[in-house]
Amino acid sequence: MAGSGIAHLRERDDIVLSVRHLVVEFPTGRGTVHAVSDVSFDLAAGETLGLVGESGCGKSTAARAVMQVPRPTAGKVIFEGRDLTELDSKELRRTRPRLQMIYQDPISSLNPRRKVRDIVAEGLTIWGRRDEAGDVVAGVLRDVGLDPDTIGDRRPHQFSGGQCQRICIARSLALDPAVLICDEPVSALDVSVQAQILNLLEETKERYGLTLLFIAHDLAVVKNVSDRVAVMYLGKLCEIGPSEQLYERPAHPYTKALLEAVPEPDPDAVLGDNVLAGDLPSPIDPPSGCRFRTRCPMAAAVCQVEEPTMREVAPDHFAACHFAEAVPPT
Amino acid sequence: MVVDEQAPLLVATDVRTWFDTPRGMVKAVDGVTLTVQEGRTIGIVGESGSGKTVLGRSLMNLVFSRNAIQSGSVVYRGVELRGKPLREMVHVWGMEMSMVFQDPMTSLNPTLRIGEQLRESLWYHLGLRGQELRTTMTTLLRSVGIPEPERRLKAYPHELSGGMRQRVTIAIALACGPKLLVADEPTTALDVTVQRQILDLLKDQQHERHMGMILVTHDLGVVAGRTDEILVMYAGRVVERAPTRTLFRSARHPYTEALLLSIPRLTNRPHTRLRVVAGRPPDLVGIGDVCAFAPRCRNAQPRCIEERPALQPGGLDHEFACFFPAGTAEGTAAVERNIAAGRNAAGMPVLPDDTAVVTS
Repeated sequence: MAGSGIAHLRERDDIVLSVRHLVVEFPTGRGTVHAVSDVSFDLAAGETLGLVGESGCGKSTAARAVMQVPRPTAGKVIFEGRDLTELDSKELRRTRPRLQMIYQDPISSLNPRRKVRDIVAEGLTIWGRRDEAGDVVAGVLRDVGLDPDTIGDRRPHQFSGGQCQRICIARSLALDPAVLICDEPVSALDVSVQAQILNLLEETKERYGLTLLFIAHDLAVVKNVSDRVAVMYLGKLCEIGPSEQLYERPAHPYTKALLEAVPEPDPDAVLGDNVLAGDLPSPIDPPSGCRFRTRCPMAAAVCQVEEPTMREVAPDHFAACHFAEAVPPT
Repeated sequence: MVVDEQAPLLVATDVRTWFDTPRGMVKAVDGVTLTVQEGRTIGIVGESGSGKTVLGRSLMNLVFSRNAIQSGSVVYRGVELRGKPLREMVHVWGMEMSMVFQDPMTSLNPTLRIGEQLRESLWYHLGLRGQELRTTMTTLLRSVGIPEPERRLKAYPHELSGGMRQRVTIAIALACGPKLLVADEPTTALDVTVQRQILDLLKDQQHERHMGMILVTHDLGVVAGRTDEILVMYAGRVVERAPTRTLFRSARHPYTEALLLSIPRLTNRPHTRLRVVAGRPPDLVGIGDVCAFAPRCRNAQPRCIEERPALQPGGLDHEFACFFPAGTAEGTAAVERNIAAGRNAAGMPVLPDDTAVVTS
């Protein structure tokens, strides 16, 4: 992967969020951590972009950099026509209601001392909309499947993980956002509760006309909600394309290996033999050229010296691999 | 320990592990019976709080809490383990049965080098010393896929990746050639590509050593291709037991059925609505002699909240604990009755559309 380039960005009028050449680096005592290195993607109104990758690939860091917490080292984040990286903190604050985020651990994202009603109303209170808060809060709570009259005065510890995630979703909806960034929203939940939240996100997206950036490590979950999927490895984008196309015909060896590693809940599923050896290299000293080459079954000499850039391998389907055409079908 | 070579590897009968807490009696494991044969793998599947981990520990005689109340019998190759004192169990652990835990960082001692931790059981149980001990250790590490084993013996756990650490704990568990391996969520803390490596490793080692294995997990995907038989646990009890294929093809317990339908699949089209299991796993205190799943069950009838269905045979090697099983005439009629009434016997709303987000 190791891919850079912006060939996959689209020229369209309905692009809500466009992320260009995003770089996030953290200085540490042992050197600079290259968490996100030149990642670009865009979101059109009403679509869901899934961002997958294993732990340490930089997917959460990228999402947080889009939110400007912390601000990225370099790159542009153009949201509704304005580059967030150039806004001062006062102006940035004004865009916050339109760009909301929900997190992996719903219980720790809620203040345990406050009542649900106040947690969900906080954004409105901050923006001086206290008068309408009561109605809005009741409305969003109802929309996420909670009864405002019975739960409004309770505190987060009285709820299960799934219910807390509903409260987090309600809180993000109260300010009428355009884009909702979901960072591993179901991975802390029990299997039987996951489906409730996934269906709820789909329903909410339709009802509120949301655009979603959905980050997860679970490939099946991502496919289930996404129109397009982007795959990250060690701070770089490997591949991006329409969900079905990308899962059926992966054009990057990493995507293929990732897909074949997923244990399908089907005893007759044939396990692929494309098992990745080794571990993720250190982001402090990433491999030269293509960052995936150290674990790639197809790596050749060129991969060491030349970083592949994003190129179109099928309509709307882009991959950053010198040998994308040679990736065998799954 | 004198064992009966002819006896099955492990026979657990009516195992109960309860915890007496200030809130009441927590029946974490409440009457589980199972058999593990040599060379076979059984999967124990359940969500958090289903009792699967406590069951694994109970089978290993590893429950030490002072407030634990244990009954039932666990017979390893003809020898009863329940009530065996610690000084006898130390000859069983590692030698006869071993365990691999979820988080390799906490099951390894962070202050000791890998070699020192691997050495312990070889030194103690097998009496290996000197060059023989060193050779055995490097061979073991190499067999679990650790490159440069001589160098790794001197490393501390924090110097290894999560996958490598789990390989080390597997090497430690296998060091003295146990006949039974209990793996409790061995890959839950790992990434999917590393998970694949570790599951393959466990399978290869089991095959080579002809061990019996118990794979405890919340992930139906993990057990699908790697077990001979599956036990589904809910609220401390086994609700369904079947050969792996049978379970995936014709699940009878409504909980198993709902779980299978609620998992997103790689083959689903984008924006597929999933089957929703309403509510959440129950509190283990005060469930009473009723079906614990009834409050979340689309099939639940008045009988389900009055008495507890026993685990009963219903097909070849297939057992389930349900009065109105899925895929049967009684079950279908029960769902239809509940849809007509708009709710099940426990008052949970039942809509014709099973993907609707139900108010909780």
